[in-house]
Amino acid sequence: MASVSLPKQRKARTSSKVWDRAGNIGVLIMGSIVVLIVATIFIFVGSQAFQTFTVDHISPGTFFFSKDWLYSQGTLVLTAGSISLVLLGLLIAVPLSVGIAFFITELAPPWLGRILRSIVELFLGIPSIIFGLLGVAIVIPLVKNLINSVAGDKYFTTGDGIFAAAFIVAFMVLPTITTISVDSIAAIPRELREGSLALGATRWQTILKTLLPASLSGIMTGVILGAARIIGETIAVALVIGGSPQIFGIDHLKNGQLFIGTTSVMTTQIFHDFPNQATSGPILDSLWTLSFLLLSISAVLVFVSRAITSRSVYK
Amino acid sequence: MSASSIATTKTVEARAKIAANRRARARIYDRIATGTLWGLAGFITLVFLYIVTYIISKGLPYISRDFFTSGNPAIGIAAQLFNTFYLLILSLLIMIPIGIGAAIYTSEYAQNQRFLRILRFAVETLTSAPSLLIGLFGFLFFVANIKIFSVGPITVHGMGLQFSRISGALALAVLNVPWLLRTSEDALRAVPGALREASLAAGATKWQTTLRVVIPAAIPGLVTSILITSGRVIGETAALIFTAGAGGSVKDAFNLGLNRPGETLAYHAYSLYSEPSTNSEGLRAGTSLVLIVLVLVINISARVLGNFLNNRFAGRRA
Repeated sequence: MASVSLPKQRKARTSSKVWDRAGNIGVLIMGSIVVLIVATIFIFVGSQAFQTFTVDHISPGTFFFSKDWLYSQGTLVLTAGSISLVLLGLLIAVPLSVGIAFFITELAPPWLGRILRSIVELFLGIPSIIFGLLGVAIVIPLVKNLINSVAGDKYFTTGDGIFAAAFIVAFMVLPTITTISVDSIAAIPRELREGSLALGATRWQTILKTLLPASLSGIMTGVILGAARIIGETIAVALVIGGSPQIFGIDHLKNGQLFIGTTSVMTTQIFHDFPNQATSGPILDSLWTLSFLLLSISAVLVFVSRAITSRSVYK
Repeated sequence: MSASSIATTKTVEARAKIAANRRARARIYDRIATGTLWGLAGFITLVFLYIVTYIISKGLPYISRDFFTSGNPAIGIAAQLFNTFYLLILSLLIMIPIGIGAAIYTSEYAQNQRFLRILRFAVETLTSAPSLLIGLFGFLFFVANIKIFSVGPITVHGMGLQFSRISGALALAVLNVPWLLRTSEDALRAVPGALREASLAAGATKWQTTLRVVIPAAIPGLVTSILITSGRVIGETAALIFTAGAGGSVKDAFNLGLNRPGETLAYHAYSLYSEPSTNSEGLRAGTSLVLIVLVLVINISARVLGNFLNNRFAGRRA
């Protein structure tokens, strides 16, 4: 009886082996496509980016630090703008996100923690164009009234600028920092909490002196990915940043008007200028150089965040 | 001697007092901190509710039947609504085989640690790359047909697909495939190893195990990950401005032409802001309302459906 069914079985086994091999190769190809896409982006954008230096013969020093480049502004306005926006945005976002993360893990009853986490994650789903329009409708008037009442001058600022932008990007990165922090706090073993409480520490002391240091690497990962998101944010920032060619801080201080704060960042400059450019030319090339800079910054920040995560003790 | 013992008692008392003070202070700080954290949680909830009610109350007066059914961009958003879903479906068709296929590779097959590390780095870089940049890349590679670069005798040109739905869908796929990959990898990894071992022990090949055991068990998670990715696709603007272009013509509204420009809701909301006309404020309020309702419905149902299917299919709680 066995000898009758044997060839059939063998055939079935061979065909399933062929399928197994095909499936293995198929998913490997899909994985390779993803790597290929990223490599293509780097090569294509890079090939345009370096024309600034190779074809247009502009030295990197001139490109990044001279004011005689890119409409007599220099790209320093833009890089300085991006860095200031990241710092100001994180200044608002980090305390808020980390506070909420500790609330969810340490204070809230489980049902409330779940609801709050869902709300925070829903923030991630709100499109940037909506954030931008809300910025125009709500945040700009808010900033305007606040600064003008402090300055005692109704016409001191129109409200658009880096402060309104920082406020908006803070809410955009809040879910990123919060969820990563929640995960890393939740990964801390119970014994650490119990040990601290058993020694007589209050809950706040436990959070500040035990849980915060223990989850710091996780929180830092969130902060770095948040920074990457702020640097890359375009539409929401473009609607509120004001678009003036002033280096935030330095130029404003010179005019004694730090809190007016209209400036430009890398993304918004590319966003506004790219559609107006011809198919070639030094200005277009410079926009590609800035784009490649954005891409490189993302890659570096990802690299740093991975390095931090791999050093963390509790996962 | 007695004097020194009194002094000792005093220091002991003084020390006890200091310790008590310190404890009291710690308790006050604890109260303040607890209050602050509750305040933060309340604040963020209020901000979220404010955003949603603000958009809904602003947009509601402009919602009418014509608003949904008219393909004329001066009256309604039918064309943009159609394009939004058309581009969503197109991009999912491109994304799902690549994203879920690669997720199967990383969660089930990957053995080459070096390739896996490269893949993960690529995915994370693509996740945090600005959508603007993907838009520019899409413009260069998909839209334009100019020479990009040449290596020796080989010259690479753009695909020359023009500002079109297919260019837009390709850019959306590039932008969101890492999200789909990561979320579906999580879904596949959540399937208990015992199921795989049982299937392999019963003589199934790895592929049979993946196809008939792992994927069915991961369906709830995969559906959730596709829905969450869809929410992101629908809200995308920056990448589409340089790829899908604006197509305001009523004539093109409902044909399926891949080579036609396709303006989505999110892009429409932006262009109503950047190029205002007489009634663009109302149209923008209405468009924002539809957009946020769509995104919230998709994201909330992703959660609810994920939990529901999880209990139903996999017979375990999330």
